[in-house]
Amino acid sequence: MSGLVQQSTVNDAVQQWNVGDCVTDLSWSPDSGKVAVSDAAGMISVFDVQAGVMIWSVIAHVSGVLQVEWRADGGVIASAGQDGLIKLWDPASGELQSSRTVSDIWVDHIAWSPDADKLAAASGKTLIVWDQQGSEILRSEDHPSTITAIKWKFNSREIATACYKGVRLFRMQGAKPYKTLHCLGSLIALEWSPDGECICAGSQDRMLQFWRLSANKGGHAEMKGYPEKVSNISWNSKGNYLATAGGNTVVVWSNKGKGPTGTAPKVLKGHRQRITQLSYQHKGAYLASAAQDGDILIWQLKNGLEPVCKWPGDAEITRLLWSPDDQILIAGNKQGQVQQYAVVPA
Amino acid sequence: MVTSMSAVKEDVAVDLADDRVPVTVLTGFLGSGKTTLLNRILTEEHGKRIAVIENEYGEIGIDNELVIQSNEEIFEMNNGCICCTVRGDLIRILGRLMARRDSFDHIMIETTGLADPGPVAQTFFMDDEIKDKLRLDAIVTLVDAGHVSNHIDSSNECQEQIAFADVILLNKTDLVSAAELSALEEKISSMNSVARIHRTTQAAVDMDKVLNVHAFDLDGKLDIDPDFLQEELPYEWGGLYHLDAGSYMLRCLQGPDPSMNVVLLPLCCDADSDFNKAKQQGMLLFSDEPAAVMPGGSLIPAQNLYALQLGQAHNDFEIQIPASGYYALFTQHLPEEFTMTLESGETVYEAQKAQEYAAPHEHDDSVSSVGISARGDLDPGLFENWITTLLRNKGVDIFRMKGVVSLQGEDRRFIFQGVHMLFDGEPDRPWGDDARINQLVFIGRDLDRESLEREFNACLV
Repeated sequence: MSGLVQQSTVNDAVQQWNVGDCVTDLSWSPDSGKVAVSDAAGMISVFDVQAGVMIWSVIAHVSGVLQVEWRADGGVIASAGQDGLIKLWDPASGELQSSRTVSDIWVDHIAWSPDADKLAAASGKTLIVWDQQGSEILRSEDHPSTITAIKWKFNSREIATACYKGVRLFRMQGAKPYKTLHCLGSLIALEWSPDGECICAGSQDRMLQFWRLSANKGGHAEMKGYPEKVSNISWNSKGNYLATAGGNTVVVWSNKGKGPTGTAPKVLKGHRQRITQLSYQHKGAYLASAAQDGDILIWQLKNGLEPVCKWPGDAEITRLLWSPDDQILIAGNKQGQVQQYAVVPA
Repeated sequence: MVTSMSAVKEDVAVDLADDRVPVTVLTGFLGSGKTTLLNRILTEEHGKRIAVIENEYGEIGIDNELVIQSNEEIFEMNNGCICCTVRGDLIRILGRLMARRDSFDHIMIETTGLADPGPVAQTFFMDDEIKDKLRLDAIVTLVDAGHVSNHIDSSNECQEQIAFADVILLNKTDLVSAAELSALEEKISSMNSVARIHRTTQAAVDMDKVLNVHAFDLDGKLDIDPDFLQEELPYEWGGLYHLDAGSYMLRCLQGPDPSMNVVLLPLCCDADSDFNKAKQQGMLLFSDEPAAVMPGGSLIPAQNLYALQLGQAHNDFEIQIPASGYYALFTQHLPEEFTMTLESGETVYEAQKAQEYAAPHEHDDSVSSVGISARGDLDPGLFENWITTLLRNKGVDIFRMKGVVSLQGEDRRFIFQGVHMLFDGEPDRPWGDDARINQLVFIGRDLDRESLEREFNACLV
């Protein structure tokens, strides 16, 4: 095993916090100094990573928080819950800045645009985007089914949604998508390539849908043969590797040249149970994967198909996220524990 | 899609306690009493944490803090099977529910009155994560005794809800007469012979009849009640006689068929229980290869199936009764069709007790159950091929199936069950001293009993 990745040697209290209930989401502050943790009991807690202390904690959504997201400029934290509300929080004090009723059903997904200018949310079959002032700039027509994922393009000008039988691409005008990418099956995960040229979606029926969007070499491919539904996708920073997971194995497709069509992927074996999270570093080459048994494995493709590091755990990892500076990997689990691992850059 | 039956060759996994959370699916038309039952469950099981997933158009409020509204979203699985559909909304909601550490003791899913139970059930087979964490306990269907006759023949949804059920509450029984109720119950059990039917008013039923039923488990609780064949016995008539030792003559005139299969069995006494036991034995014997008996030939009371050849105007067969006692005679057709009599000297013997059994129904395109019960070992390869082909071709119409079969070279019972094309099977406990009897039941639309029986028989060694 490579010595490049090391478990944090700071004291245990720093390595692990406990929020009490299943971690539903994690979000880093842009300066990599703090982490916001949401849980199934409805709390949001913000921790100072270096000092290892909780800065604040509030009951945010009584029926459970589904997502928490720090805005890219660090100025505000947004949360969404089963109560149909989106709330905005002051990151320093934990003070509630505003609360917005989106619908009478769950707000499943929220996403700040990378330029920190817009906030998008999906609730049921509707996609809504607000500007900085909270004015609605987009409200989609009903999708054919509940939206299962939303993802901004790097330039913040487009947002993609996934649902049953297709991916829809929206620009910031009109209720209709400017483009619909059709396929069969129920899509459950979605990612743009870093350059926005490709988009891929994981499907309930054990395959990956892949679209190339550019006008001259556009195309659609289906990658089959996964043992289970494909619920995790992560691109590396250069956009030449596409990591996916279905069941116990990580499958990495090369997107070099003409793309993954017709090529054999690298299959990374090492997990004993179903993979629940998959995350490439923002700039580095490490790929982290986590499973239902709590194991976290770190992979580096140039070092072969064996994991370069393995951290055993004892509870299902529900969220796994690299810090923006790639130096810390943070994992939240079903027991409400949040662990951090310090990593020497790859 | 059919999963492999390779498990036959593997050892049974150590039977660890199943800690998956049980899920009960409630189906039934609007007004059948689903909400009443749900509230009853929530009241009587108040110590438990029960989550309720309610369809968007829930009838009236449920008194429970853990109610989640859900829109039915039926997704086809992209695997070539048109019947392979799942409920996308349930996958999403159940996934979220299971994330909670303080999970639930039980989950109730209430479907809309017009819901197809197929996708709900298949969700528990098709999604690996759900399969790992949740256990589909049973499909409970409420039937409004007062109004079901308006749609039982015309509504696919109504028929499918009955066909898919493990437990049927024939509710609002106070709205109909006893005779109407019996006719309705008979009709329902001809459609689904496996489901346990309970007559209720106000959905009042013991909780252990509807919760933790383990209807989908492959752990030995899958024993099929032999009574499931009651509706369609392979013979049309059975009679109980008291006969002294001696020689008797069974006389038949020419009738509508050139031959008739019969079984003659000795009984211990004239008790109903003994006669019923003989009925079961007779049922099994009727699946054997019959021994042809020409007029003038003889038969003895034994575990034999005889094919009486009735080609002549008068056909007489000798019966030797070894000892005085009770005897049961089962005949493939009704005795009067051949003016059959049992005589000895000048005396004509009447059956002390006689019962007619309905001829196998003509089902057309309606929903029915086909049960197969037969002795003998199955060739594992042939059986797997048959089931695979059957489900590929007929999976759309087969809603549920269950079975316990005896595979050649396997000491253990092979048990299986399925929903549409999804098949789940494994060996369970050893046969031990139990008779190796194959029992299968199919519930579906437009089932062809004869071809199912023929194809099954072709798999026997």
